[in-house]
Amino acid sequence: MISIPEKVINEIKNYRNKVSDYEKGNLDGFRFKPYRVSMGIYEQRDLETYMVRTRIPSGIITLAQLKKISELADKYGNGYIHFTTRQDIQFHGITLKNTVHILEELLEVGIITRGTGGNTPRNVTCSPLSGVSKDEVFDVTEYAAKTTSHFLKDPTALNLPRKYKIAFSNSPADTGYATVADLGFIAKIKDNQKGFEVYGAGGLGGSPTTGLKLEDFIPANEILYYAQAMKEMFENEGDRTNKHKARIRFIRYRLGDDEFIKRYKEYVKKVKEERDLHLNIDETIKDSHITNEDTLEIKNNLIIEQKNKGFYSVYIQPDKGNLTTGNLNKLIKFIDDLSYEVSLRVANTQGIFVRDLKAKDAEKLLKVIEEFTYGFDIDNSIACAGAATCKLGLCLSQNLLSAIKQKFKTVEPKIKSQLPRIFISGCSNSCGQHQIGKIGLAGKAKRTENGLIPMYTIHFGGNLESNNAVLGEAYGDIPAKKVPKFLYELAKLKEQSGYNTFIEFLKKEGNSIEGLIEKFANIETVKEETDLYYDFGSEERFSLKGRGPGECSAGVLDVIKLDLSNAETELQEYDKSKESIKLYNSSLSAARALLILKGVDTTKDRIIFKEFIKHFVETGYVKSNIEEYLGNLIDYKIGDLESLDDYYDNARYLVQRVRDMYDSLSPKLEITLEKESDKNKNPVEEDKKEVEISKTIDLRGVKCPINFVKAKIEMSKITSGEEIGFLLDDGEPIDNVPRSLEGEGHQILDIDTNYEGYNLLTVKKK
Amino acid sequence: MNFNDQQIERYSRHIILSEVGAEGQEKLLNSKVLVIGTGGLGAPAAMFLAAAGIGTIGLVDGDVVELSNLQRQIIHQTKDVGKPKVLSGKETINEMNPDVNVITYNTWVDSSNILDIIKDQDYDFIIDGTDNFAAKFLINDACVLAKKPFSHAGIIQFSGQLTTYIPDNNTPCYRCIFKEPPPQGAVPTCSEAGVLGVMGGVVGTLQATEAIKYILGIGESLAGYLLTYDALEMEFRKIEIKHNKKCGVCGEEPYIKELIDHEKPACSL
Repeated sequence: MISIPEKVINEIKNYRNKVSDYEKGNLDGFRFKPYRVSMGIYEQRDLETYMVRTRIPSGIITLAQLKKISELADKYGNGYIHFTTRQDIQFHGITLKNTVHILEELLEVGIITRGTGGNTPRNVTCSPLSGVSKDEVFDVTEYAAKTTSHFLKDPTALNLPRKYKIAFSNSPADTGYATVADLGFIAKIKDNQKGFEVYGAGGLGGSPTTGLKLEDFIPANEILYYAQAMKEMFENEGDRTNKHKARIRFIRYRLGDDEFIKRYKEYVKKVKEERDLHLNIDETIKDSHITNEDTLEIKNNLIIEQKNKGFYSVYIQPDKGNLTTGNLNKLIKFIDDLSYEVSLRVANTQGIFVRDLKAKDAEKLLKVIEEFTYGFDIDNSIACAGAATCKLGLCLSQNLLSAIKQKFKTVEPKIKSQLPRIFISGCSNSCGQHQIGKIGLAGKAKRTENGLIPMYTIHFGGNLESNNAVLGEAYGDIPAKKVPKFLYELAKLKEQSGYNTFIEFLKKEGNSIEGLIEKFANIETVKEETDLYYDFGSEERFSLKGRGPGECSAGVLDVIKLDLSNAETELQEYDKSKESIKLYNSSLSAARALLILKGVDTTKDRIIFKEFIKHFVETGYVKSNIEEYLGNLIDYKIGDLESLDDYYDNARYLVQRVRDMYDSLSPKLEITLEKESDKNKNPVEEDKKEVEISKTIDLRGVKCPINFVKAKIEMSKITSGEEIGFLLDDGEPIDNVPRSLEGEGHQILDIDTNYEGYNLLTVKKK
Repeated sequence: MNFNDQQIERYSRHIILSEVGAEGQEKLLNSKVLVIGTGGLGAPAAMFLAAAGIGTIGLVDGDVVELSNLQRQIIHQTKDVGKPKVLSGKETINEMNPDVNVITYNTWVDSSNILDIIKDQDYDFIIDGTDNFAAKFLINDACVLAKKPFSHAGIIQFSGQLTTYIPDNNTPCYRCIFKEPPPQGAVPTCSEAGVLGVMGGVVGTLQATEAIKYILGIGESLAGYLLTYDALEMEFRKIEIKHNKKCGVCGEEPYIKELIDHEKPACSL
């Protein structure tokens, strides 16, 4: 349905050369990476293995393509495929060499991977039952496909400030998630004309929000003007300096809703003046589907009645979205054996639909997939990869899902059917889309006296629909290990309440639900309930070891805040009681607070002090006399020192300093506060405390000497004494650019060769 | 100023130079240079100025392109024969560098129009690329009176010369050195007026260099010196010249207070 431009095909063919250059050492890893990622190839947590994400445009896939995917998963992968929440299919555990084969062989059946990663329009999603669902306004599939084709032709679309997600829904129920997309279209008919409501600047993840309504109705054939306008607005106004604040919704936060809409409309006007992007899709509304006389009684959630009478769609969602090739081949054979054509759509819920089945065949298919699918909504819940493979994950979300399924396995259908599909994210990032679920769970870590425990924030009431989209609201935190039981109690409560829909239950039974959460929120000590201190499927005590300070930082920040507030409280208590132990506890909490950012998580006092000295005193962030003070604390603890009264100033300084460092954390969780050691070295600079790194310019992927040229241009924009950062590739760039800038008289302040895996050069203008 | 990606790449070899940098390139893009005459000297000068990203270039010439020009006037091409030179020059520049705004004056300079032309865009620097004494004295007088810096040059056969005038600097002007145009008989006849094509290339390019340095405010200019070039001997000489107190236009008692047109000698053959 989409056409692949020649240029894209050539790029895919050229991927082989890039890999070969990389393997021969002719292409630097840092330079290869952006190229690889733009081809939808990501390195997995196990080094040297890769994930390949294919673009299944709007979920539309043919049987021949599915066969090829199955064949490739066997030949190069680990025997299964993964259905995503963006209607894509992924291969996992691929070697680099084999990524080349996969890309090339996929091309034979018209599947590409380009643009499934990187800063570009991602897969355009579409209601998976568009064209067959009973409640649809009209079929939006072709509009989604045309949008895909439009951006595939545009090479500049590969270099946006961040990703750009577009979604289409065929009805106000918003099954395509248009109301939480960067740009979303919901089908609407006005005066007998096809068109769309337009939403934009929505999104999950950090600072999530539902989309703004940008237009109440636009003629269907004009969608590309709106998609192009959003792209141009993003290009011009998106924040490229901070990838955590780069998505379109941050432009909206910056401008305010009214100004955002006003400017967007100006972009639309401009695009309309400059280009002809009018589509010629037949806009007449017709209803001429073939029907069939045999019907069946729907007894299973996996069968959906279509609008053309006598035809059915069957939903297949394997455990965690992973389908083995064995099971996939059973499905393929079944479809192959049919005497008529059916259609396939990858869903946005880690599953796939087989559509246009006749009644008897739908029932037969159900038998075929019986072993690996489940008929209840709660079994078809969604979980992100979680801490098992994701560096940012806090909790083992997939294991929680398994535990929930296990818990409900033996529960009677009457209770089991009470709960909707649950959306689980392993951290506060929204890969498990927890904000859109009627029930959503987001993992976090909580520090207790006995150590960290894995917790989930319970969200209720997320609901996407035209004009009325809401994100789920946090009701409270429950230890991970208690979640399955909690859900079971919740299901029982709903059954007893007699309310039909979950939303109704939520509204009317708010008090009892909150009471239930309160009951489950209780945290027992490690002696009372050791199990709480372990995550699902893990034999090690829960910790944040191995979890980098990434985007998913909220859980980590919670832990820091807790320590910091303890430190401040103890200090206040000392002011009242003058008990030295309060000062001790205050300093201990302060010293521990930020260690989590350095991957240190311990309750042993000596180690806390030692690590604090290593990470914060020796690096110059904290005054050097604090080292001695921490020694005094140990003396006090072992009884060599009777009172800490003389050290009050040190204790106070320490808490304040840690608070300042915490407040200065950048979105990437680096301390941006000026080091104490720098202050001492340059007393003259005291006056210029205001001066700090004004921005960081990303020059990765820019070759010599153009990177130096761009750096010079940026230097020309700042004033003398101001500081600026440049991200530079390994090799020539990091060797040459600092020397060249120094040659121009600027001062090189720092070359950090391990800044989130890149090189950060900090320069002060002469 | 925000350079677009193409500009960054186009001017990268300039920006790299510490004497130019982004600030210098910005100056060039904001500057205006008038090139009088688009012949042997003016053609290469204009082309290098355009390539350097001089934001506005004025071209003055009343002539049309002839086949005999093409041996040295490299801004014009065979297809341009018969076309006004300023138009042909503008087309070449536009194709080479779209950043440059070219203003054309399809006319010969004389005492009645030259000041208007110089003031038209308030040009920052003027290049004398003309081929006759009358025009050279006129340009000199106009620039002195209008207080505009300019580069004088001349070429013939295998030799060339140039100097730079910078106002308010006690710089000698062209008239300080050569009081008046030479008498009729001293002007080379047509049979003597041959010139090696590259002479304009060498000397015109030096003129462009002077203009660019002046705009950037870098290096030492030829103000106070006459540079001569002998291509056969392959010899450059830099001769110091002094301001002439008795100069008719910039001396202590100037008698030229309004522009005059010297007689343009006709070819006597």
